Amino acid sequence: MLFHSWSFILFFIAVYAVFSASGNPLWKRNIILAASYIFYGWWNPLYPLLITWVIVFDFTSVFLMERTGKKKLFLSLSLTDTILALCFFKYSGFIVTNLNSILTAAGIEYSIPHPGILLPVGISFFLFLSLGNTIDCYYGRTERETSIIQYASFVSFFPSLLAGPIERGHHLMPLLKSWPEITKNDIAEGIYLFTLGMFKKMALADYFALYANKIFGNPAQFNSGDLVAGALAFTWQIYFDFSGYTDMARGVARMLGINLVENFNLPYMARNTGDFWGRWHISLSSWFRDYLYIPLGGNRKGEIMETRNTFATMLLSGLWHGASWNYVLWGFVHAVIHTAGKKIGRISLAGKVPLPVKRILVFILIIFTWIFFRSENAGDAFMFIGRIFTTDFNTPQMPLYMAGLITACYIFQWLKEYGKTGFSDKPVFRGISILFMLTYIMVFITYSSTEFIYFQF
Amino acid sequence: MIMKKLKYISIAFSILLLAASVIPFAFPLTDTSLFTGNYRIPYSMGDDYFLYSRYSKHIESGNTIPVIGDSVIWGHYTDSSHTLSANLNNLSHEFKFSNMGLDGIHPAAMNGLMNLYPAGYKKRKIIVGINLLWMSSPRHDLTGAVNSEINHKSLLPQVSISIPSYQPSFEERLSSLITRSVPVFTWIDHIRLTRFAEKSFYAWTMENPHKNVINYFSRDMDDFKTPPGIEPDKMQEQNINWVTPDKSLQWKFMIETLLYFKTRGNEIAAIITPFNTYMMTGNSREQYFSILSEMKKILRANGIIPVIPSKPGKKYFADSSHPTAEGYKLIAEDIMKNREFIKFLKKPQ
Repeated sequence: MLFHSWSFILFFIAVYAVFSASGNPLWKRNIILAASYIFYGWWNPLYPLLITWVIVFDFTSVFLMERTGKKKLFLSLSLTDTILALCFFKYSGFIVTNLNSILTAAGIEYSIPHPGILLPVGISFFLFLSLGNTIDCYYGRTERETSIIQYASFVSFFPSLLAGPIERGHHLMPLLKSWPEITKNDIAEGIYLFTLGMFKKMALADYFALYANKIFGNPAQFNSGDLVAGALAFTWQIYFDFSGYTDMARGVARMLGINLVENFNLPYMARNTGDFWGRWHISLSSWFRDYLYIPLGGNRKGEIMETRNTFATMLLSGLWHGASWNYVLWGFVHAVIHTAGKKIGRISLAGKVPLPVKRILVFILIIFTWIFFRSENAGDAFMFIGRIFTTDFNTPQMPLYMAGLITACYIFQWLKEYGKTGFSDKPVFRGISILFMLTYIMVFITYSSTEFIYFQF
Repeated sequence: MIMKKLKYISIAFSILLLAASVIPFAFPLTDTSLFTGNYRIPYSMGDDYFLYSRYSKHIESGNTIPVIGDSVIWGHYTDSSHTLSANLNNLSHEFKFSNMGLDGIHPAAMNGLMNLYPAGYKKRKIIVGINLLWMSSPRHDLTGAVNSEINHKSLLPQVSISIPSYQPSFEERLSSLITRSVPVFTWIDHIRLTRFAEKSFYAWTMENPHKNVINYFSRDMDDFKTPPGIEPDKMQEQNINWVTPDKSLQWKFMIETLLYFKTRGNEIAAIITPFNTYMMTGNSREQYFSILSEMKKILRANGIIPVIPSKPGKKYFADSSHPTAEGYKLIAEDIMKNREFIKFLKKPQ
């Protein structure tokens, strides 16, 4: 059930009606828990079993952590369970493929059969959410939740279940426990965010995908101009796809009275790669920062250790995105750029580069990193980049309308970054923009509920 | 400020709702003056059910006899002035018959079309074309394996009847149910098909990357080019896996449609358009004639006049079920000699 589908809209109306009819926060929580299970089971009736396992295992681990005092043991068990679940569902195919390559290279004729396990949608998100809470309990940063029903409603909360934002226990759990009163502002913001997200996904991301898919589908056929335009189209596609999803998730939660964390803050306005990660998929970047980078020592143990920690975090972040070497390579490229950027930043001349120029340079670098992310494999990515520099620059076949939309989006981000878009918060603007977005979707978009890119992670 | 936000959002939704309910009826943007003579729904507008519905209503308010059917009635291998209804008009020296054919519409979809966009024919004479193509294999009959390439899918029953070949996702069913029941969605499709260059704006920009988008908001005239038929000497005999009327889903839908008209006091003549038996093996031909006589019996039993024109020569067929322009002329002449048909025409309406 995708957010921008009729099924979801009807499902949500039904849930909302029942939810609104109950005044008791406990009942509200129970209704949303039941709705979350129906929502997840809609994808596959077996998925609720998986999430129940995660809930029960992590809840018990934290309980035993407190009861027995063997904190390290139960944290390790929870960590092992998460890694095993990820390895089994997400990485088994990747591991087998690589093992088979090693066997072939070693001249052994035997090949391990491919497991062909279906990747449950959202697994990386709710596993990280639950593990994050276990780690927080281990460090005493958050109190142990005593009710398993309460914990289940936190892990399975349907608006953020499939692709985040990856919430923290200390933020979401108290909200789900006392369930805030829904205000008119919540409803207004929720509807606006949901419509905006739907527009970003259907009117922008899916449109840019038409061109990006064409170019990335066969980069050897295209020359420099088209390759650059294709990379640019994907850069905006992935942003609107994921931020559109997040807006819809936040909109749905907001209508239920829950304010989920921000996940994007104009990432293409970043002044350096560190800044980029503070603006892109914020809930995941901060997860890696808090639960991996900092525990590894962060930047506290000298330059070499900082570089090691950066590489470890980025490589794992890449691997989190997908069981493929090109994602690892994408993480590696980010680590290299980030480390190099830090070194360059220390040169006094770098400080003299005007900020807008820095933003543009970082944006160009980010476009190049997306090539590794989107390409079918590492070979294709290098070939793509190689052809950008070795073939003639042709006039791209990107539609002028698409180019216009991309330019408008980029200009809007600049204006927003410099606080020139105050008008967009005005009630009249909100009303007009909702009217415009819905009319645009109805008239110009041929309905198709395509999945979100981040669902595959 | 907060109150205002919700207020303006409510206003936006109210405007949208009002516009969606009023516009399709206030501004149908259909040129009804074209609905004269041998008009037929343009090929490229075969999915424009709003247009079809407007055309049906126009015919309903007039005196002509609607000739309803698939591409054989529509006239796939000829122009609009040489179709079956056009030839019937020529022979009766007046515009008495209206071509209500729709390309690719099979009986199950036609049943949906008549139910969803009813013309409201009452106590009228109606001619319905029956094409045995739709019973020529389980695939055509929709009783075979799951097929994602069924024509006019959105007109099929989504909940009430299970169709073996049609197994879409819940979302597809729901989407079909909603889009076909809310007039503004069919109206938008109508505008896209009749006024804009293509159904999908984005697909159009991809095909015309450097054209001014203003061009999208204009439409060229229908560019349907009559396809060449199969040369008679290249027609090969085939073994046909017929689905008999007792097992056929398409036949069930056809009878349902005919009875739907019948219950509204209409007089129905069902023309079973000739099938190209030159492209059948002997065994298939035998089965074909047996099916034909079975159908005739069922039609009669239900008070429907069966009209079975003689089969024209091989060269008058363009493929397995479509006649050529000349073929239509021969079939029309044959129909006009049919006593029952003449009696049907003479009945007052």
